[in-house]
Amino acid sequence: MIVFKIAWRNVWRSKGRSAVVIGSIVVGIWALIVGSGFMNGFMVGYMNEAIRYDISNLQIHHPEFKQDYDINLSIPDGLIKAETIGEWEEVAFVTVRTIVNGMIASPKKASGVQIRGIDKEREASVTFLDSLIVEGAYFEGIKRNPIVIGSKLAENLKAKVRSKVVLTFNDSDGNITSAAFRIVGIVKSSSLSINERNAYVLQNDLNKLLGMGSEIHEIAMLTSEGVVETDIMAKYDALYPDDLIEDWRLIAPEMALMQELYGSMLYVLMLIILTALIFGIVNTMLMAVLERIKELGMLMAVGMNKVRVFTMILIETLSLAIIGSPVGLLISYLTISYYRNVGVDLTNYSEGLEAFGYASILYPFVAQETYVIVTLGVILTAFLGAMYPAWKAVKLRPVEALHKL
Amino acid sequence: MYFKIAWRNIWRNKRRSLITIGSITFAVLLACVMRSMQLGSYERMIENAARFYTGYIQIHKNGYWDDKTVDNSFESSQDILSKVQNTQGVDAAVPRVESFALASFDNKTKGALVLGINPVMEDELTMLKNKMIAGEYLVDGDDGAVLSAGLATYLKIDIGDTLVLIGQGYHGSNAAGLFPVKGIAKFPSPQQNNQSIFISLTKAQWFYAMPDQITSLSLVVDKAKHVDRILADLNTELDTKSLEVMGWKELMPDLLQGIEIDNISGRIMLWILYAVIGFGMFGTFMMMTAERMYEFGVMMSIGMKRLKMQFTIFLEMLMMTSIGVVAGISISLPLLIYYFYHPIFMTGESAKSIEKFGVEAAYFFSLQPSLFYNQAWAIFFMAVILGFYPLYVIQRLKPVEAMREA
Repeated sequence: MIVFKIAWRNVWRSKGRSAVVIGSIVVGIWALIVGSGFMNGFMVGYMNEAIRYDISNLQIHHPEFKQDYDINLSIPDGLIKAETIGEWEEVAFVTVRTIVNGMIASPKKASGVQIRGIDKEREASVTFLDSLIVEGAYFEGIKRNPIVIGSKLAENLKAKVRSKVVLTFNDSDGNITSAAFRIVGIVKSSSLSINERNAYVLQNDLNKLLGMGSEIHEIAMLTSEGVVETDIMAKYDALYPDDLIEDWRLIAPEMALMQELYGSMLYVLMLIILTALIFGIVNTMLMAVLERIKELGMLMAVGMNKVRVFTMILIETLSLAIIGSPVGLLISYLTISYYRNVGVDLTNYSEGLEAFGYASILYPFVAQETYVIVTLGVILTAFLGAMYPAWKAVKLRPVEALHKL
Repeated sequence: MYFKIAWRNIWRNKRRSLITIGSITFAVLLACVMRSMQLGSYERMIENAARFYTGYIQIHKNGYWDDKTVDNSFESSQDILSKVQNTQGVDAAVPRVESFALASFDNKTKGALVLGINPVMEDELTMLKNKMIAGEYLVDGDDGAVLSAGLATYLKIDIGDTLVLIGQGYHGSNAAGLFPVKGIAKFPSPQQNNQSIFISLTKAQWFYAMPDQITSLSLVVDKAKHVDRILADLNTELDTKSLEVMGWKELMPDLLQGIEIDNISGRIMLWILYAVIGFGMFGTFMMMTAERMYEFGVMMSIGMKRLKMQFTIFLEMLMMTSIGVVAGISISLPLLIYYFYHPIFMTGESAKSIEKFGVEAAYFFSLQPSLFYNQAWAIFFMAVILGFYPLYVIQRLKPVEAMREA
């Protein structure tokens, strides 16, 4: 018990030294939490942009539809199925689409395009398409055949808001159909397919032209937070085994690859930071102990045994860690919540971003458990870091120690 | 004089100085390792993508990239080939004929990307042979075709069956031909897997009625970092009025964008690392100062000027920092050279899912000289700035109190 008391007093006896150790613990916790927060922000801000605005978490198709985009391969009873899924707890929002590949032409130029017939309200809730509008409005202001296209496509076509474009595609009987649409809005995103390859029209308009009633080709959904996509896939498969349900990993495997690569890289970077932290703590503790050679020699000379000296130093470290962690947690929490609201503006870091039409503001966030894991990790690190100096201290010979200055 | 005192001060207390130097050495080492891994991963990403399909540099007829039709092809004359191959850094030039055609078998038809290739050279660039899952790979002048697995499944075609290709040839001529299926190749990217047909270059030139013409020449270069120089060389060598020379940055803007963004996150991580090692260094500096309070007090009371003492301490810091930085570089250099040639392979689930793409699941390191240079300077400046702390302490030092406290 007396060891505790001595250790506790030691902590406060030398304020400067304690401040350094506490400081390195605070900085360590802060670095790890803020670091992972930024990484998370990047994952969402960059990779998930395509998932968020284009692919969504899950998509359902006729199993053969995507091979050739044959418009007769619609999802049987698609609307009813979409209703059913929409009531599931795991699913936040559902939208349905009619999809046909065709040509879009302005008086200047023609280009291949994927025409998506959407339900404007539901599309906005699943893919936030309305938030990408940079010019014009989201299906407002033009009554007859409105169309929304990507900024790059608009540039290629040399078309502006209210310009007229002609869509050409095969209808359900295989006849070539053309219809004039007027651009109501232009969207911009970092995703190439949104910028360049997609055109959004209202489902009613498109289905009428295709002559396919209320059939749909695609159901896309956004899952509720924390839901595992494969669970929904299993649930859907059990209910409607004839349809093809895929999560974004299957739809865009290269993105899954990126995520894996990114995740593994992140893991190593964190490891490097942790190493730096351990080294910093070991260093400071080593100095702190060696500085006290005389004092420790005295304690041993007056009869304190080695086990106690060892425990005393460890308890000191632990106390410092326990004081440091709440401070570190508080600072990290404040940093993260501040940037979560304001966002981190990266415009100054790279001129490249803007040119790609990429929103250069990222919003870091961390999961609750990160705080716990990081804190425990850092305290453990400090503990291990104190082991070596404590061991050194124990090996001191009191007489020699007293002799040193 | 000051120099001598400073130098002696450092070695007077070896233990303390070694810890301080060690913290700097370690900081340089960690910063170098981190940056090397980041840059290494980008280099590998570029290499993978270039190896995947495009090559580092492509040469086409001017205008081909914007309008990819066989009409925009060029004659692969000996003159062009020799100019390209004689450019320093170019290992090989792989010719291709690339266009779309309708592929048909039985009553199934699908639009497909037809690639006329030189089988041997193509394999050197993209390792196509390794992607074969059934049948045989093409030989020079082969009459047959290799299909991607997704397309073969869609057409319900098998090895030995005859594939019909119909398309538009050079200057509007009709292109039609029969190709026995010789093999099937599987690609990780669905886009490639669902639409690719490989035939021999001569057969493709016959099919599109464009003898000796090619649509692109993909270059294999010895080192990725030479791409910019090779591009410049080629642009002066070749007739840029009729040909366009494009580097991977133009060929794969998505990749460049990905790296650009990833690099920002990499730099943020680097700054966080700086914060941690900076604090570690500051800790040792602070301890060092605290430990020497008594000494400072004595020095001052026997009449040493504050400024002179500060200068001596600053020299000490400068020397220790330099030793630390040099030591850090000389440790990281051999270490990173080793790992550059022996990348660290990952294991477990994520490794498997990465390897599915034909990408090696490993951590790669870079040896760009600028990396060592930049990190060394960054840590040096950090140490020098943190080194102002002891100077500040001396500035406010009261000799008597300092001696009594210690």
